[in-house]
Order: sequence, then structure tokens, then C-alpha cells
Amino acid sequence: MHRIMGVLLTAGLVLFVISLAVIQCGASSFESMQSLLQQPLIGLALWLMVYALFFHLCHGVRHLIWDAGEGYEKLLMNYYILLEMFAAIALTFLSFLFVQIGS
Amino acid sequence: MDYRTPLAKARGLGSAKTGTAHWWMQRVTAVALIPLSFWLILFIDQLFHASYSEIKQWLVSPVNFTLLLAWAFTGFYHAALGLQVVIEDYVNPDWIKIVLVWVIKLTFTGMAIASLVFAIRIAISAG
Repeated sequence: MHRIMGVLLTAGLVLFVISLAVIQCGASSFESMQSLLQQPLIGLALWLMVYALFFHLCHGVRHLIWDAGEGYEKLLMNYYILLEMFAAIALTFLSFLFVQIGS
Repeated sequence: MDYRTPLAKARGLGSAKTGTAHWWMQRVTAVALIPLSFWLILFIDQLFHASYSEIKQWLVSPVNFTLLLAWAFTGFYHAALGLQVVIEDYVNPDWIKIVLVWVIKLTFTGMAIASLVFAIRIAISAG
């Protein structure tokens, strides 16, 4: 799961490079990309990717804790996954709010 | 039934060579990417709301230019390491595995160089 997420997130890296390419192209290309971003479906896809990024980040923190030799208690496993999902939702929501309020 | 111990199976296969460094760098880049991912949110915010001249000025400020390149290089490195592990673990014929790992490494090096070039071009046009 963590690995599949990581593979999918590389698509986000490609999008990041594309956005830099568009910006260096000039004002008109940047503005068409911006109007594309205003499309609800594209915005939704972008925020889903942000959620995937945050989930990967939170689960990655657990992997780091595992690497340190902690967090193997069977009872806590289900609790951790819920915590990760909740933290990822919270971080995505806060980022979304931040971007919305910025306007 | 396989009565051989894990150690007996591993003996004679040779060392993991640079495996430890690979594993370690995966973790180092992971930790670095935790704060850098929040910079990405700031960048997305700019993509949504900034005018063209605003986003250019924002990107070429010393802090953001540094964080942009740090994010890009760390991200590509982390992704290349991760994809390499996925390929090594799930792709079967050896020659496909080797070719795919090459392709991944070259592609991500290329993307890193491309983002450096784009960033420099943005900086030149903003300056």
C-alpha cells in the first residue's frame, strides 16, 4: 500500500516539473494552466493527490518509528492506521483551507 | 519443509553491497521531505492565486528558490530509490529488472536536470 502510493505519487512529481515548464514558458501559458486549475474536477484530483502525499508522509513516519524498533504492539496497529488517516485528512483539510483563505 | 536457517540461506550470496546506503538514503530523504512537503502546499497556493509576475517573484526569492531545488532533488531521489525497490521486489526476469532500474535512474536524473533548467530560466526572466 505504502509502495503503491509512492509509485502513484511520482505522477505528482511529473506534474510538478510540468508546472515549472509552463511557468518558464511565459504569462499566457501560466494563465491557461491557472484557468485549468479552476476546473472543479481538476482541483479535486489535485487535492486527492495532496491527500495521498500526506497519507504517504504519515505512514512514512510510522515506518521511521518501526525502523527505530518501536511500535510493533499488535493492539496498537489498528489505532495507528486510524491516526494516520485522520492526520492525513486533517493536514489536507488545513492545506485546502489555507489555499482557499489565501484568495 | 525447509529446515535451513535464514543465515544459511543468505550465506554465499555475497554482501548487500551498497544496499545499506540505499536503505539509509531512503530514510534520510524521507525525513527531509516532511518539512519540504509543506513548502509544496505554499507552491500550490501560488499556482492557484498568484499572477504571473507574482509567482515569478515568489519563486526567485532566495528562500523559495532554495526550497524549490531542495524539494525537487530530494523528491526525485526519494522516488527513484523507492521505485527501484519496487522493481527489484516485483519484476521477475533479471534483464527486465536491470533495464527498468536504469530507465528509472536516467528518467529521474533527467527530470531533476529539467527542473533545474526551468528554475534557472524563470530566475533569468524575473531578474
